[in-house]
Amino acid sequence: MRADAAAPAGGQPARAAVTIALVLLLAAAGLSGVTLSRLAAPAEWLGLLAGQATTDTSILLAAHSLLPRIAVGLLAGAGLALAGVVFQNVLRNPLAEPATLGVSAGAQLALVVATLWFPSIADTLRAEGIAFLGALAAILLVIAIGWSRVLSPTRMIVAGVFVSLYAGAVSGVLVLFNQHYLTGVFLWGSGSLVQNGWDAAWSLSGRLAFAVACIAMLTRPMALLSIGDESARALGVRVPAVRLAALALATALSASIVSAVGMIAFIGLAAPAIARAAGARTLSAQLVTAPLIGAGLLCLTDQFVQLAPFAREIPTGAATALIGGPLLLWLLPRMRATSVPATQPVEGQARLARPAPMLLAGCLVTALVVACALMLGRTPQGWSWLAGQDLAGMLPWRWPRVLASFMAGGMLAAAGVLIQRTTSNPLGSPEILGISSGAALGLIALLFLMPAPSQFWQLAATTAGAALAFAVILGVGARSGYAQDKLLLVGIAFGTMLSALAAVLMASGDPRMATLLSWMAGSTYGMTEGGALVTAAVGCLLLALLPLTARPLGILPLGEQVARALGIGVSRTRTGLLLLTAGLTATATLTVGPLTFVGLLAPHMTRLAGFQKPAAHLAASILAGASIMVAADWLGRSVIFPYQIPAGLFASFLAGPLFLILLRRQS
Amino acid sequence: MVGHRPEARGHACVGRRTFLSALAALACGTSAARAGPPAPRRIVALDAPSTEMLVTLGMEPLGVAGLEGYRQAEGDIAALRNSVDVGFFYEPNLELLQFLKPDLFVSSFGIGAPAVLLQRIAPVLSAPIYGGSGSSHEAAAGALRRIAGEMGRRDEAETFLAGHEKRLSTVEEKMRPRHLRPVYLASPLLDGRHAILYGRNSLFDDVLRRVGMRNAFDGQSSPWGVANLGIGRLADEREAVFLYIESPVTETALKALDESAIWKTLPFVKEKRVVSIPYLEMYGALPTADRFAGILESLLDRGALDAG
Repeated sequence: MRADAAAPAGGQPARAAVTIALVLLLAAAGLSGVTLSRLAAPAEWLGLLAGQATTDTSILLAAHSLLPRIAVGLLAGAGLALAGVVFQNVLRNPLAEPATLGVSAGAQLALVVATLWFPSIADTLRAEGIAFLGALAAILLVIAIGWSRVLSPTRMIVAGVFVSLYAGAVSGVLVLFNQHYLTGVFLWGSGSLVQNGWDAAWSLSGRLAFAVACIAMLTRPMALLSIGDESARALGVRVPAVRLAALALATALSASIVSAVGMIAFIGLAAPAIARAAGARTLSAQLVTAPLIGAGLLCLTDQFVQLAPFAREIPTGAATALIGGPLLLWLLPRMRATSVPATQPVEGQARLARPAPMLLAGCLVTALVVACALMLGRTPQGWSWLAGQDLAGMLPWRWPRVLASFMAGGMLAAAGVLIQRTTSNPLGSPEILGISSGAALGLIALLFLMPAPSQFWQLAATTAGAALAFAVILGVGARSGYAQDKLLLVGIAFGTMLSALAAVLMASGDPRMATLLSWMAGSTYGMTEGGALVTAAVGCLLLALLPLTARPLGILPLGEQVARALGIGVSRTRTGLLLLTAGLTATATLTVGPLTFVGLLAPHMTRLAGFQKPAAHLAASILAGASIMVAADWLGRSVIFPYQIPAGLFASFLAGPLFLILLRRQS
Repeated sequence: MVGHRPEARGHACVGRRTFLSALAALACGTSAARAGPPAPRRIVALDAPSTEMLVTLGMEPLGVAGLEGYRQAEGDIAALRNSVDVGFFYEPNLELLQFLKPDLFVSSFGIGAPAVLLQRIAPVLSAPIYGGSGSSHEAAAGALRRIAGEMGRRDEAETFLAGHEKRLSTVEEKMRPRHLRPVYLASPLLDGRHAILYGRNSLFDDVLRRVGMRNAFDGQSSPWGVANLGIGRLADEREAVFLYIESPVTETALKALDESAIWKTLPFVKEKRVVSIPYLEMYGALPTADRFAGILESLLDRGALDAG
């Protein structure tokens, strides 16, 4: 599909999008025929549908497993795409989909909690019921956090990412503690379409039909919303009511799908993106074509997974990410600028007149945290403040971890500021560039290749992964003139591939997954003196470049014309900023793993606290990020002594509530 | 750098001990290890299989990684009553370990804390069982001998090995005259649609081969010997018996399976050949293999594996 081929079809029918959908559906049908013929001869296919009584196992398998699987694939694909279109248009963010709004993470957390502590509820409600409740609770929380007079899309998206990351962090801790029992949840997390009968297919089709009917009624007011809140209100649209209704529908729909088949990455994001890229510009065109494309994509991938001679069974959700990710990366330079309304920067009115005293106070807090992290700790006798000989004995274990988390926290926060300020996207966080995911992907690939890789190989693999992701970002960036939405999509592509592969590895019951899981959760456990010093040296070098960015960061958001008039080479500056961000993120990820929550939160926290000017914002964010990370590392190794909670994960716990308070206070 | 001093001292300590034991081995010959320097007493087991081996050899480990989970799964074990829990097997608490001052770490998974860090505290005895190229069962026997040699407990190890061999031969003799069904050995998962199957490279598969039984699952499995499959794939072997390992989640998992149309069509379900067996460590050592052999024997005695 090329942009110029799609160009003439820019009008209502969006013929290119329909063609793509048809090609995908036909391919899916063809492959389905192949898988079906392995179990039943074509002559018997009609009998299968009629529900003929038989004792032949392969016929039974075809009728109760394969056919419903095809149906569920089509239904789930269509439903996810439909929910994606609604979310993206209502929230005006091309990145909005069930996963970014906390639906999937909420469902997963509910499953983990029910499995561990409420087995009786788990019994009566079954996995579907629990996952549905979890997904619903997550989105209600998102709406509660993001609630304001008009249900501002920006706040909603920030809240969604927040809930998603937070629920993910909580599940992460629980999983770390109970690996024995949770393999089933991991498997669910990787999105399996394996069916045991027609139940899921029937219930999904009923819910999808209901959702389609409701969305059809909402199409016109939703289309009016997309021209802007003010104009829509002038035309008599009740903005909050329409937005709430559309969100409720999309939520219920994605919650049912997620609860039936688990996390299927990428469809809710990609199907609408493909439809738009292929010329479906209006909302109604997207509502028609995206579900068809989604159905075709998911079913095709699912059939491909069944036919391909893989060494192990790959869950479909993982496959959609593994196929969809590279596809998205390939499509990106060929896509025209998306027609989804641009995002708005997160609002923040508070402004500190004199940031210096606050910064000084921040320094003191940071110093206090570092001192505690080095000297105060748990021993079998309880908490103790060490000094002298005892302290000297423990310091070799403590200082590398403290130094590494300090540097990593600071670097992530700085990278977060750079991304949020250059993209004007409140979702901007280091992981959104895909560099940290790339690093993690490198490590996972290594684990598939080598049974027990040494630390050297682990470092080499993470560096290679980060470098690859970085090369892709630069490549896409250079070809698209650093269009921000495309760079963000690069990050999402890497991120979905990562979570999918990680889920496959974790569902395999491989004990090595524990090491991987703790690294991915940001553990500084294996940090040596040498490693910490290298991180610190590279980190200081990169952070020293930050003062150079203060001026461009202040000017770039004013627009390209203004920037050029003020003598700033826009594309050269953007490349420089991107390079710096990538370097900061890669160095930090190698140290504390890809869970870069701090990079999202620290810049928001400091901005909400009133640090508005770029230089002050950077300085305050670095201090905040570093202290959060050091505190997280310290508490993580102390609170459940002798067990440990990885620093990245614990930082999410610490920063989450702080962020929430600031967000509420601001409204 | 004040911080470096104790670490340097630790190195010196390790060096001297290794040197002394090497000297002793040279002087007395390896078989006389008991007469040499005292065998290590303060031992920390870094994972479940090493814990299992130490307990079997009659040792009381000073520290055990993942002790809480081990107790939950295996019940109260007298030898572990005074042991200290040192944290996750993949991240044993280094500060606590330094505080405990062990004189040997035993590791069998070979994953987790980097050896460079552990060696600052005490030497690491690595006795891998899984993930190698050969049979896991042979590796498990080798690991037990290796640990016993280091502890000066060769006799205990040989007694256990002899008992194990005898049990395997007994089971094999009981099997030989009979016509037995192949077995699936599995842990069903919570979703009611998947199960973990033990296949080639797993300890249990080796035991099955050794006693002359056939594992019904012959597909690809991980280097650690397990595979995660949709239950539809279990229809291949029409004659098989389905053995599932009891765990805290099996009850829920079985309920989910009972509602599944596919599960009901599987031959071993229709013909009521689904058999539960007591908890076994997923990645166990030789004692787990021995327990599995004992389970097979009792199944044989009950006639649960005979072809109709």
